[in-house]
Parts: sequence; structure tokens; C-alpha cells
Amino acid sequence: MIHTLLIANRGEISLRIQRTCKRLGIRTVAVYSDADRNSPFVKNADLSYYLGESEPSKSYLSVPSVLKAVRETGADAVHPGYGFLSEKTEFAQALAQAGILFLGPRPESVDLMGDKIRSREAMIAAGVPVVPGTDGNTQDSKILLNEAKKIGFPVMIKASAGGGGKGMKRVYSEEEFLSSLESAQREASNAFGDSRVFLEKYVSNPRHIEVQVFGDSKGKVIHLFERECSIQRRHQKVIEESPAPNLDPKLKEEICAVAVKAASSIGYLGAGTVEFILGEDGAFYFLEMNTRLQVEHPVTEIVTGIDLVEWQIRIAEGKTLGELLAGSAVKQSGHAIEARLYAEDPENEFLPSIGKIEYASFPEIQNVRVDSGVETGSEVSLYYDPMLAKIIGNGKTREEARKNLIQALENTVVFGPTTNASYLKGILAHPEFTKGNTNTHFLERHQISVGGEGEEKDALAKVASLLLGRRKKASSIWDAIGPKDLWEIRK
Amino acid sequence: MSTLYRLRWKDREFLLDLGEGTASARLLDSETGNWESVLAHSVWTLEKEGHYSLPDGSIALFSGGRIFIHTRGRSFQFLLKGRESGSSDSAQREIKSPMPGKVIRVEVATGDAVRKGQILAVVEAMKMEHALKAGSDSQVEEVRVSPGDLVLQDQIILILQN
Repeated sequence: MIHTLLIANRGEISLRIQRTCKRLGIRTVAVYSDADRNSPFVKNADLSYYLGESEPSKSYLSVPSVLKAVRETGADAVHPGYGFLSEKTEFAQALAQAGILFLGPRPESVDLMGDKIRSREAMIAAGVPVVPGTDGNTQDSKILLNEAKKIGFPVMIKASAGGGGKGMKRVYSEEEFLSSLESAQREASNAFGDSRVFLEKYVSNPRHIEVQVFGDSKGKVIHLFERECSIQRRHQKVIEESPAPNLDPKLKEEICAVAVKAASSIGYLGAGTVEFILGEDGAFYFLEMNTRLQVEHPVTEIVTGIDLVEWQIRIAEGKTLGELLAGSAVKQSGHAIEARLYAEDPENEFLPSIGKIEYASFPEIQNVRVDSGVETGSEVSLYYDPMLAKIIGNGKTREEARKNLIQALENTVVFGPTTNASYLKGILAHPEFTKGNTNTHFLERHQISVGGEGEEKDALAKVASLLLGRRKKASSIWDAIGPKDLWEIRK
Repeated sequence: MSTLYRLRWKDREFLLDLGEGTASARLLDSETGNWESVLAHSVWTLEKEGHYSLPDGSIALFSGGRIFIHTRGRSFQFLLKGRESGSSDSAQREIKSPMPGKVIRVEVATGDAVRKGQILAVVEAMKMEHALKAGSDSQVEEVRVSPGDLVLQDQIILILQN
């Protein structure tokens, strides 16, 4: 049994884990850096421990510092949250050696899935479909052409040493293959001093579908259905939902079964997510496996009614899935959509917007869940991810969930840093989103409206009435109005 | 007495004229150059220092020379850049920083004669530049900052003498 749980993370996920612990009667330890000293997650925990400077490498990412915190607070288990140390093998190993429970998978699983090449090989061995391609050992143009034909056009030619889109070519037909290959090799040679390339099937207009899985110590693995995470900006998920809209029931069943197969094949323990890319033709491929609780886990919790953190705790304590399920099957009912509220300016290239939150108020309405990490007075610092909160709307139908989430976003007030709330609302109100027509190019292809002229005029009229009201009431009006003696022009 | 306010929202500037009456106001859109009348008939309730609310759920906050307003499901942040008053007699002497920021440029030196409206210095805050202008024809008595200096809200940048 876990008595004291140390949460090696910060912000909303620390608070979210604390909620479950409080309910289960488990003592919580928050760790914090200088920048987070006064954060809600520190105040809310039963115990707090100062880790180090704001720089993540000197606090949240420092294995020795976190281990010291575990020792000194007498914690018997650690939840890593997501990010930071959640997928660091050495951290999981160090805890195992110290006899501390790690609320994550076995170190070997973390290690294997963190390696793109090894995990791909393991999945091929397990019979899980991976994006068809070559391994980079073959550079002969005739062999590569044959491979391309086997994969089927369009194919991508990618530089082995590549990155950032350099040395990448999309080839639509056999005729153009050889000339594209030559130019890709030349580009790769010029850019990286290494002409080697590999091939990969090009999946057009793909959807990003992932499956929540859980494994127990007896080797049993089950799935908790899928999440649709196609709405992404620069490969960062923005909107996530469950169930995935317009997904053929047979295909959905197949994807979930393959996810279970993938996790079973490596003897996976605890909570994990198997990510797939789904093509327009219905073919789907393994992308990667995340060996942790994910940011978007609340949508799964809402539609299955399962507290994933509680399950992580119970499974780490040795309970089996059979005991947790007590004979009943996991069901998916209703619909949930999550939006990530960021301190960033959608109208200024999404630049992070830091500073003090002068006022924050989140909706407390039915069918809406808010996992927030900030409050009035919180400081949004440049050290960490600018996510302020996750707002999740749910309902019996997708349309209900969508409307509830829009209403929730309209009732989300953050004064100080600029947020993407209007942008999120713009996505949810887009006709193609409403229809459930999503793919990973959604945000590049569709113009998202962040509000109309009318709203601005309305705001200005209200500012005018506010200034008028203050002018009438204040004894000396100038005392009441912000900066004094500025730009005053005598006429 | 007519009172004009300069409001900035993102990179747009608006001039708000509250007029002489109680609920009449007009707005100059800097992009179109047109005055437009606005209905300023909302009655705000003061909740606590600086915090206001409307029955329709709108809320507003005055803080550090900024007006935050959340209305119709959207948050706005207006910078109260300054005001122009039609009937003030007080001579402008101290030029202060409207908010915490960084001095980008100082365009005058001690002893310079300046014209009304001339830019004296530029302060940057929240990624935006604010030009501090002379309120009247005058002479620079003292310059208290240099480019690159960090300044607090209301910190004196320079002093003018009529």
C-alpha cells in the first residue's frame, strides 16, 4: 500500500494527481523550483519540498535532487506525471534500485519505447503494422525503386541524417522516382555530409488516433478505447477527443486490438498510450508508444468513468486488472472534448505570453471539467510549458460536448498574459470540425477565426461606459485613472 | 468638459472621446480616420478595488495602466496610453513611464528646446513601444534615464520646464 506519494512534476498534472490521492487517503508531496514557490500545486499538497532553481535541469529534471526529495520526505512511491522525468529510463531504474514504487511501466519498457528504431523492430516482430519503409542500409537505386514500388506511391525519401525537413522528397510516381532519389541524396550530402536516405510510405491526410492501454503484473493488457488527437499545431496537440468522430466501428475495434497486441508483446505494466497514424484508405500504422499518463487522459476518464491515476496506483500496488474491473467490461459512453489553454498569442505567431496573472476565473458549469494549474496572482514564467489549463467539455453526443466546451471557453477569464481561448473556440466552431472532418493538416488548411469586429466594438463601448462611470464617481477623476500626468496636451 | 483617452489593443490605437454628456461617447478608428458614436450606457458595479462587473456577466479590471475586460466570451486588454484633456491648465513637468518597461531611446538632451507633440523618449513594455511626447512647447530641464535602463511604472523619465 502506498502511504506517501511524491509527484515529480508541477502545475495542473501535480494538482490532478493530488486530487485522486486525497480521495484515496494517500499523503502527497509536491516538489517545486524557485519559480513555482507560490504555485497552487505547492500549496495544495500535504507536504512540499524545494528542489532547486527554476531552470528545469536544476530542479524537475535533476534525478539526484528528486531522489533526495524522496528520501527526505519518506515517500514510498513516485508519480512522474508527463514530460520531465516521466520517460527517463535512468530515473525509473534509480527508483527501482531504491525500492521506491514508480507509477509508470518497467524501466525496460521505457527504454525500448524511447528508441525509435528498436521499438519499430519490436513492433514488426509482434505483427503490429508500422509505416512501410526501408532501413537506410540499402542505397542502391534499383533496389530502392523496387522497394518504393512495394511500398506503393506516394513515398517519402528522407535523409538518414536528416532533420527539420531537409533532404525530404515526396514522390508520387515511379517515373519521377530515380530523379527525386538522386536529388535527395545530393541534398543530403550537401546538408549533412551524408548522402544516405531511407524510404517511407507517405500517408496523405492522416489522422492521429491513439489508444489508452493498461497492463497488470500478471501480463494482462486491456484497452480503454481511443482518442482522436488530429488537431495539432506544429506537432503539438491542441484539441483531443474520445470517441474519435466518424471512425468506422470495425476499424476502431481493430485499432484497439492492435494496441493491446503491441503492449502485450512487451509485457507492458501500467498506463500507456499506443499512437497510430490512420490513412484515408483505412490503413493504420504504429507511430510510437508513450509510456506515461498523457496530457489528454481526461477525455478517456470521462467516457469510461475510470480514474486513470487510481488505476496506476492500484496496479503499482499489485492489484490485477481483473480485480479492478470486478467482472465488468470497460465501456465507452458519451463524448468528451479537451482543449488546451495556453498563455500564447494566436494573433502574434503564438508567441508565449508570460507575466503575472492579474485575474483568473474558470467555468464551474455542468458537464465541464477544468484541470488548471494557475490562479489569480500566479506567475507564468518562461521556464516551463505555457499551458495554463485543460478544459474538457462532455455530453451525451459529440455536438453536446462541443457546445459545452465552447460555453466553457467563453467563461474562461484570464487577465494578464494573452491566451489562446478565442482560437480554441474558433477551432471548435469551424464547420469542418463540427462535422468531425479532422486530420493532422486541419490547422494549416483552415482559417481559424479568433473573433469578430463586433466583439471589439462592444468591448470599447463598455470601456467607455466604465471610464464615464469612474469619472462621475471619483473625487478627483484623475486620481482614479491609471497613469497620471502623461501625454496631457494643453489646448 | 470633453475627455479623450488613447487606448491601445494589440497593435491598434483608438481615441475615445467621452464627450460632455453622461452617456455619449465617440470613437476614432485610427485605421479609417472616422469618428463613430458608441453606446456607453452600461452601468458597471464596483466589486472590489479595480474590479467591476456588469449584469450580462462582463467583468473588467483596472491594473497598472491597463484595462482588462471580458465580454461576450472574449478577453481584451487595453492599454490606457494616456489622455488628452480639453480644459486642463496644469503644465506638464514630469514625464513618467506609463508602466514597467525598458527605455529604448532617449531623443533629447538637457537644455534642448522641444515642440509640443515631439517624441522625447521611447519605452518598451510587453513587446510594445510607447512614445513619450511633450505636452507643450518647453525646454528639457533634466534627463534621468539612459537607453537600456529598466524603469518602474510612474518612474520619472525626464523633466521639462516651460
